[in-house]
Amino acid sequence: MSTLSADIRTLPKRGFRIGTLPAAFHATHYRGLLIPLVLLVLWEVAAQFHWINPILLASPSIIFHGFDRSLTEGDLLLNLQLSVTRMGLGWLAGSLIGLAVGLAIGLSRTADRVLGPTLHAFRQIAPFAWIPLISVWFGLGDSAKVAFVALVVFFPVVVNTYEGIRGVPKQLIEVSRVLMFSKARLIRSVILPAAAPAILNGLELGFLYAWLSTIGAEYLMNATGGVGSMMESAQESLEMDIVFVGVIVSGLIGFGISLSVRLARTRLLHWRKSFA
Amino acid sequence: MSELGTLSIRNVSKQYKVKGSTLSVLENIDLDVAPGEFVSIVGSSGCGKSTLLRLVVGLEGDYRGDILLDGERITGPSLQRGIVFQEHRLFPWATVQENIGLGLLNAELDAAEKAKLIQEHIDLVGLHGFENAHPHQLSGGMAQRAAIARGLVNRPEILLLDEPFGALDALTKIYLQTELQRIWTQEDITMILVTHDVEEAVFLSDRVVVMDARPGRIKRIVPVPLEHPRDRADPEFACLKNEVLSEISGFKPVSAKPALKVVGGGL
Repeated sequence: MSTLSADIRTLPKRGFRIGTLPAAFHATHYRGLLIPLVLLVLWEVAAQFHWINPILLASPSIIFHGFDRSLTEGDLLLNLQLSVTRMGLGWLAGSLIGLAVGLAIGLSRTADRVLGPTLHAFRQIAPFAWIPLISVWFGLGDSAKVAFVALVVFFPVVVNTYEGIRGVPKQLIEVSRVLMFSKARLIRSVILPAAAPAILNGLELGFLYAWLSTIGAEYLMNATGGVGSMMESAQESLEMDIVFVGVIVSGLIGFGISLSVRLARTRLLHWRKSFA
Repeated sequence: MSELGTLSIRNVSKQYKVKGSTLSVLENIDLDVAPGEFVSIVGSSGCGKSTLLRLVVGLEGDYRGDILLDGERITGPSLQRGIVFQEHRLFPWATVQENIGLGLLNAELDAAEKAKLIQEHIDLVGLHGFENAHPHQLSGGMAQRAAIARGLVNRPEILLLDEPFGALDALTKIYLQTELQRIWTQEDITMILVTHDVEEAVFLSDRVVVMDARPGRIKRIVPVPLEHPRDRADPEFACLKNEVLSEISGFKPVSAKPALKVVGGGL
């Protein structure tokens, strides 16, 4: 029994270890790909044998051609550029306003008392419930989409900034009192670094939400292009391959965002034990 | 520097308001500490010894009586008084060097003088080679050394220590006690140590103040007239240790058997 379990633990590692590649590239880590690959093959086989209606579910090979088509004939790159620009602008606006408000209510009790209840009330509104209002106020163009993204990004940034500042250990504040720090120095040298992990968390969540809300806004306010609008139009004309191209592209962008956020976090918070 | 650092605690009382009623934490504390003296405060939990230290450092205010440093009443923190807490309380995002440097932020010195002081204090506490380490890379004992360096870097007249070795393992603790004794001799400043550890108090102090609880008051002050460095195995040391222990309420020594007591202290 004991030798068996020992074998189970050691065999895969020994069996699949490839030279000196970093841990992430070890074959054992690829086992997670098994199910997607099997599904992909089944999907293609099912499409080839007409087990499924190609109008509802385009086959992988058709989607691949759709990719090619939307790159060469369609506006995939233009749409992508439009979406990414909106996301970036919305994230930037939402983050800046969110940081400013979060710092204000985190650092000042008065600001917290004045602004806090209103913010908490507005937070309860489902983000997409804003779309009808925003489309009335801003139209269906770029400004409406950027405003929506900014609004969605704003809340996680505010909340995390606030909580981060309020969560600064009292012990460290005491140290700064003993060392006679001025208020400005206390904020700069103690509160902001101590709150940085939480603030980054908020910005990171905001980043992920920004992409989701960009696609959502483009889909629901289909007027001026973008990946979401491309998908909506394709759905209208039953071009399922293009819909899937949109799904895949938005997934890849989301993946890229998560990855870059993780790298930035490791770099910025190197002093934290859990990331060292 | 040695003529400065006279602390006078005159008839000090401190109360907390807890849900309408008042809780007396300290009552009529009188204590004079001479420049360069090492005084320890021991007592059971809740005797107010940490509160007294926090009053002296200026983190707690609103007390009755007077706490005077060189004749001036203490009303808040000052760079003349350094403190080391039980937890190292280093800033986790800053290196050892930067942490100690933050202690000098308000000192009126130029960058070169500051750098020199920082290095001197890193060397003083034996952290040479760890200037650029972050707190999470240090052991508990090393982090506490860095905290001591930060407490001393402003060259305060008095250094307050609030159970600084309370969270360390026994061996590190004994080692750091010896180190603190060396630093105290070398720097020639007044030190006040709050501790649970009677042996630590007897090992380091000129006088041990025993406090009693509810309300916190001074029960007795035991002078320790032994030469430094002290030998924990010395029968006289054991006697003094027992004397202090017998003063702490709730503790009853079996009987004075110094010959047995020295076994544990023979390090």
